[in-house]
Amino acid sequence: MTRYPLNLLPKESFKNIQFDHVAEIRLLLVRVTSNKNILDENGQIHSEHICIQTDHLKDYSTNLFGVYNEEHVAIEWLKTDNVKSSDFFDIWENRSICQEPILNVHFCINQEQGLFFLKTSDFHNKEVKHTTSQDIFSSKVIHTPTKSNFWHCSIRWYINGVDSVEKTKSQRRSIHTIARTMISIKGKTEINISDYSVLSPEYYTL
Amino acid sequence: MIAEVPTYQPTPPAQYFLAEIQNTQGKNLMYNSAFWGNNYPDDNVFIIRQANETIRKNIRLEKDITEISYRLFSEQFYENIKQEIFNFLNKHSFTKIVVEPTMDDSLLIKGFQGNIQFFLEIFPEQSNNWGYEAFINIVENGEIVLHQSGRIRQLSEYLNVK
Repeated sequence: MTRYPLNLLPKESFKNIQFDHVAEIRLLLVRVTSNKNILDENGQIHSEHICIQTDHLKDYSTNLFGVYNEEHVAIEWLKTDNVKSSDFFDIWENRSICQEPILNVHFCINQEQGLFFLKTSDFHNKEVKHTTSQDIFSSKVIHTPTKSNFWHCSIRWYINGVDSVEKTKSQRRSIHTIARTMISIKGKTEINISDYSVLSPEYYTL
Repeated sequence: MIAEVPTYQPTPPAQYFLAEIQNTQGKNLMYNSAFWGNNYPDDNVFIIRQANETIRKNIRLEKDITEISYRLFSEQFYENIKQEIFNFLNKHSFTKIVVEPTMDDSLLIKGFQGNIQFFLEIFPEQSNNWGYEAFINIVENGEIVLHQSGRIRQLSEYLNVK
């Protein structure tokens, strides 16, 4: 890879994907990890590779598999000031035009990075109930395209339909433990990709 | 003031070891004379090896839990949780136990009881009398079938229900 894959950048003709409208389609999300050795002794995703900061769990970054594929997992953003001050990670909206990131200026290729897959159906509109409080914890997959990656998606978590950030510490801990458990048991490093679909352009073009 | 006479308490690994020995082949082998015989027939060699393996596993478990607790939290946190954790582990016949720190400042212990998997997550917490907040998720057939919070000894009961 000598330049940033242009097929990751949003186009003016694109629109947001509504996961409620594609619920019947077998789709995969890809989570990038800092290395490839990410399983625990039982073959499940090790908690240290689920996220590197707590905050990342409540708005869990993934990528819709298809146009975004295994080759793109090696893209690592540089931690330089010009990347931090850039708008590459801002949410893409109003069909704005996006700047192309430059190799070794904004990003590098790191073949050590790993990945795991999550099925959208395991996380979209899924619910778990607290046994005594009866609080309902739910998750949704939301398309959150950024200016450098149209295929960026988030898994968000709700308590009784309200975003978890507005809830008590104990409730937030509840949702974090549920999120960690679900990602650990549902995440797969190997999957038969032919069993899954690539989203048809009709769902993301105007 | 009369000083309290200390009573012997086995260490958590020793308790676990004793429980495992008692569970082996459904009888209390500690009181089986063949177990202590001079000839050590094959069965008993097997049992001794199994017991040694159990001791090794429990020493490793205790080491993992202690290290993570001391590294991420505090000696006080470990003091608060250790007895309840080992009671929890002793009470159920768990296999494939894994101990991990999380990036959420909690200690995660997971393992299996047959086809059921548990995820026990413990956070340091100063606002209650026991010094931690624990959550359990019980997973069956790849789905969370139970989510509960509370003290470890209470959460342990949910594994009996399942």
